[in-house]
Amino acid sequence: MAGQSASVDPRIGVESALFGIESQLFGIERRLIGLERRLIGMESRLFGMESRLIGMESGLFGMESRLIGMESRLIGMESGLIGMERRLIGMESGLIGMESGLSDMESGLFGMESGLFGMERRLIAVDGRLIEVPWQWLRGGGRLMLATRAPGQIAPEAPLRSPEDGLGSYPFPVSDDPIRADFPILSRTVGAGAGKPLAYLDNAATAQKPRSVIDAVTRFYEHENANIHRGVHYLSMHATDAYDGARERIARAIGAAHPAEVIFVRGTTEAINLVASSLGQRFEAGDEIVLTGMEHHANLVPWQLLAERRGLTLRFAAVTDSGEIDLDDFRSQFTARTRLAAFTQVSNALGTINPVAEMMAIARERGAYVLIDGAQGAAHGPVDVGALGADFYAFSGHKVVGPDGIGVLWGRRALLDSMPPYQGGGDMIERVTLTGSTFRSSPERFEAGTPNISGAIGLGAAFDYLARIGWETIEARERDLLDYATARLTEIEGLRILGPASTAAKVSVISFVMDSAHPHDIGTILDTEGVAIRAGHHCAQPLMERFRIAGTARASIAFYNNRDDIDRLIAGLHKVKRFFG
Amino acid sequence: MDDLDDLYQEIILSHNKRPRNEGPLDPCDCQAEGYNPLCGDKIRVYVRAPGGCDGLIEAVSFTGEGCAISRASASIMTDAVKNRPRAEVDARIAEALHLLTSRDEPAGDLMTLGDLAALAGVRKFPPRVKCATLAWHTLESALKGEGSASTERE
Repeated sequence: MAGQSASVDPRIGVESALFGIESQLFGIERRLIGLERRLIGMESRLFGMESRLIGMESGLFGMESRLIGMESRLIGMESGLIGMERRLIGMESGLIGMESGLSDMESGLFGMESGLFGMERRLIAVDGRLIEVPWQWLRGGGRLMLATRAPGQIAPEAPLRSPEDGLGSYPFPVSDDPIRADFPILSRTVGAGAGKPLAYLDNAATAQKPRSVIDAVTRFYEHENANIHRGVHYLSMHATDAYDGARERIARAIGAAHPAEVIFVRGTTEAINLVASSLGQRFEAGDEIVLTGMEHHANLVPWQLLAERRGLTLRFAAVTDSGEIDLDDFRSQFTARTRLAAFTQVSNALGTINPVAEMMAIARERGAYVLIDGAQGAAHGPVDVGALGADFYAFSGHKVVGPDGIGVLWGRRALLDSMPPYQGGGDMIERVTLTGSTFRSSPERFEAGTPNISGAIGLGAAFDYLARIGWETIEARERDLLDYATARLTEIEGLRILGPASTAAKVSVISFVMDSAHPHDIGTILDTEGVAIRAGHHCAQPLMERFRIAGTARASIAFYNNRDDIDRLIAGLHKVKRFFG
Repeated sequence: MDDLDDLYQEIILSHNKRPRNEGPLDPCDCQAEGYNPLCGDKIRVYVRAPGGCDGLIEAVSFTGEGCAISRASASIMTDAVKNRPRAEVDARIAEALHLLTSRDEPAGDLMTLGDLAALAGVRKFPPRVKCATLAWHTLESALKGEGSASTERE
């Protein structure tokens, strides 16, 4: 091949050398173009980076201005807070100023008070001239009469001048009887015009309330009101304590073994309905309940409704002509099917005190549950549920000088805990799901919903009041008035008292009829004399039918009544006779 | 005292003491018993209307225990409606019930009401109004053939 090459035209060699150079140059050019492209790529990457940097820069700038904005807002808030702080400081010093002003006023008032006290002392002492308040003049009640001795006659034995000659007489809310003074309503008048002083003899319907009960209810609403058993706040805890405390005090007062045996209800009526609805679920068709012929409708109608629902038979012990339970007949009403006996401790219509111990013994012998209606009994003597030995005892707050809308069902704890709930709702549950619930034990089990908190507190105050007066005093006063009223009524011709002849067998409730006038007419005429009594069937229609009368007039006496009330009743009845005689 | 005298005027007292038309009617064409559950008072009203109780009401009587107001009202009623066509009796009943229960002063002429006017005094004693309306409600029930009336079912 080489030999061949030597003979080739030299121009061809140059040409191929040039061609070789040219292709080298072409290769260089291509590399240069490649470099150029890489440079262009780098350049555009750099350009992209540059614009990203520019973007980041403007982002940072935006953030900066937002930060600046926030900073200025914070500065604004800070100065606002400083302003508020200054205002608070200003208010605080204002309050301090007011406080010292009030304290100045207080000492001023105190000064005035001691000044007045000094003047009072001086007035009392004036030159040895006496200002005396004769006790006997106060007994009229309602007016304070100030009398002096005649000038120059300062010896204690010198005669007193009458109030008209002395310093005069002034209305003054005092009574010679501190118990009457506890009951604000007793000093009012009733009826048209100036009216007549109130002689309230409808205590078996509802009792009047002493100041301490009214104050307890008012205090609750003014200072303690909150719902109970729910809140974690101060007032709720306080209200809960007050409510539970009332239950404990009442439990002690009625001799309950445990506060859980005291269920707060609306009154006797609800208590009996509770037992009928709940315990009644245990009774079966053909079972029997023994009642008496002297029951209040509240201890009759709930059993009638239950008997209808469950096919029970009600049996009734007869009432004698003297308005007492016929014990032999009571005994004969019990059978092997008797499940419960329910009877009243004291007849609301006649005042009869029933032989509860004997009736209890008869019912126990037959293994029946026993419910005692204490609506009237609890108002006239101390209750001791332990000594009574029944399963249930029901009474109303409003008849024992407590508020209305509150009452108590006492029951044996184990029995209560075995009974199904009465009403469903809040506070009585343990755990609730959509398909079922479990229930708390007594008393909460039977106290669904927000209870009558102020009522319970008022009822606690009522028991405190009765304890303070003392049942001995209460019973002695009522017995004195019952004997006095019975003697005075017996003198009225054509007037007949129903119920036991002996006042020892009854409480201070006197039911009577008159030949000349219907009970309603008696009631209306007595009312115009300021004497309040009840006229009608006293929610004991079967008892009225037993005596073949439509109704009676009933004067019911409380321990805060007095002989003047009785005298006015008697005077009113003489007026009735004049009208209709 | 004035109010009490208004309530127990001579007319009322005399109707109470010697009620007109007291006792059952025999024969009797329709009757009803009325009852005031508030006091337990019962009254029975008898109507004689040989042509039917839609026609001429010849006589009305009553029996029952009650207070002076309810007895006087029943007695006055029996006089006020006897020998009148049914439409007039209905009008008298409406008039009497209005007089006893309305808050307005008795309309116009008390004289035309006769003894009925004596009952107007009861309006000052709200608890006693139902004593006075019992007889009228009972008559209404008898004429409508309802058999019984109650002051608590009006």
